[in-house]
Amino acid sequence: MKSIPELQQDYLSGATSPTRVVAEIFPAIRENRLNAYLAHDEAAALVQARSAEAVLQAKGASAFVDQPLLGIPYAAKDLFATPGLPTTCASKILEGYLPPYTAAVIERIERAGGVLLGKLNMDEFAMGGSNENSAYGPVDHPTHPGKVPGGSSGGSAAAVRAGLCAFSLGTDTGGSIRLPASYCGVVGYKPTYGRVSRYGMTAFASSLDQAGPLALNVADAATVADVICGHDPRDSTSRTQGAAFTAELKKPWDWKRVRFGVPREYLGEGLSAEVRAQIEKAAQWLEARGAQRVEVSLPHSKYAVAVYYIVAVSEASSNLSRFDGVRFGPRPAEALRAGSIEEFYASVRTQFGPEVKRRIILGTFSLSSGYADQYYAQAAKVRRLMAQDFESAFQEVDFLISPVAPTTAYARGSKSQDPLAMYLNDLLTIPVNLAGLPGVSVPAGTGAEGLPIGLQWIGPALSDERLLAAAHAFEKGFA
Amino acid sequence: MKVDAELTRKLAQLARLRLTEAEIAEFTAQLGKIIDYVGQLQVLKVEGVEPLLYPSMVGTEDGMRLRPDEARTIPADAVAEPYRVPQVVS
Repeated sequence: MKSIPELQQDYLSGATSPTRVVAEIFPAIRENRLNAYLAHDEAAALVQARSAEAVLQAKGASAFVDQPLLGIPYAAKDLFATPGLPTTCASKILEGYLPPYTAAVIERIERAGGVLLGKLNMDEFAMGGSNENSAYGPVDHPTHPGKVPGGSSGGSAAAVRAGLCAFSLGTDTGGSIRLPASYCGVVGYKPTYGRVSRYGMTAFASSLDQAGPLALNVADAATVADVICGHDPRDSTSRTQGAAFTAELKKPWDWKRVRFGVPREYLGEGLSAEVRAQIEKAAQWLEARGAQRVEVSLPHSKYAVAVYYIVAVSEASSNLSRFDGVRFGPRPAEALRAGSIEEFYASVRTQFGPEVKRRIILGTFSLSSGYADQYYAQAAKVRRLMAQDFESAFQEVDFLISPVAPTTAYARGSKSQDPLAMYLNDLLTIPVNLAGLPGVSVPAGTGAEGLPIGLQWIGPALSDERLLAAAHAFEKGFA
Repeated sequence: MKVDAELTRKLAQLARLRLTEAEIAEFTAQLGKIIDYVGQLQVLKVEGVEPLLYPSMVGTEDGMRLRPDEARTIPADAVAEPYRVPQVVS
């Protein structure tokens, strides 16, 4: 699959066309070797592609000014409400569900000319780090069969890496864009909380969730960011900042004006030797180009997983209470025989998978009377301390860099027996969500067996454009 | 913090989840470990620290009710006040 500008060039020169690109991708989408897709619609995609061709015919290159994604094929994680394609959140409780409205990000991409190919597999309700928790089967790693692609946006990362779309949409609550991007060797960007509207995006943890692009390179991610970022009055947490990503990438970059740090707590013992080596290599590369490395500490880092697995699960238990079979979603035959509303609810809610049930119960615990102060309120205060750690660090540096995960992609089935071990894998990505900061994973070499290693870039709130510019400059030069 | 089957059952009931006996046993063990782990926060001194609930809250929480004009694929009167749905309990 070519990059966005390459596709656009080919469209203008006549080397290919949106309908040709769609027709060429679909056999692999239908074969679905990686199980990355949960739903797809070639006929609908061709309609969008033909409409893009008509605009290109009429306007030529100037068409891309108003519609920067014109004719570009993409797919969306299956928790965005899309017209005509089901939105299941990879759960049985929403099997076949067709929302009656469209997500804000999907609307924006549609207006920008993007061609929606289908919906992508994920961990159920975005709960997981390996795409092993889908009710519709796991996703395979795009280049290393038998390894996990990461999660929860596993389908989103795998599809981009395997050329099954030019870019994809994922979501990130505790690392779910950045982790699969790192494991699969693509770019994954999580915006500052509030820059992308959550309208029409099934909520897991409302104070942490953020939608973002996965793409083959930073410039493509920036093109998508220009389209999806922006205020939406339908999301009460939506910020008013406009987007200027591509413009920022055009400015000349000078590493000598950059101060960066690697949080000392992020280089702890759990890190594999090969990941540590690659991060050090990246840091040295930056210093060789004149960037100034500063020692930084985020002292409350070690509490990240504990805070997250109270805050996120509490919000999830509340958000998932709406799945009761009354207004939407399938009603199992047994539910229809229920003698009371409580039995009806309980019967419908047996359709959740085990990880979802586990997190709902954990969240119910932390919010229940007698425990809410000790657990939820306490965690929310520690969250404030963690956000303050970042604020202090950003007095000294412009960016933080770090590994995304302690290791490269691991074998499917190897961690799924121990939920807590799985949770600890997120310790490097979670703090960014807790503080609402922007983060991006950029491919930064490989480890044993050629498995990708991602470098995480973190910036202050609302520094997204500069953050992607730094990631772009790094990506272009680092080998 | 005593995490036993009785607590798991109570939480399941609060969450309107029906668990099998096998699930209760499995979840009780897992919950115990997780609750122990997250319990490490309790020793931290946080007096005077404001809880951070949302990194940004710009607008107001208006009733995010589905409007008839938004709901393309279901009839307008189903989205009126109150929502009309198929019968739930006979």
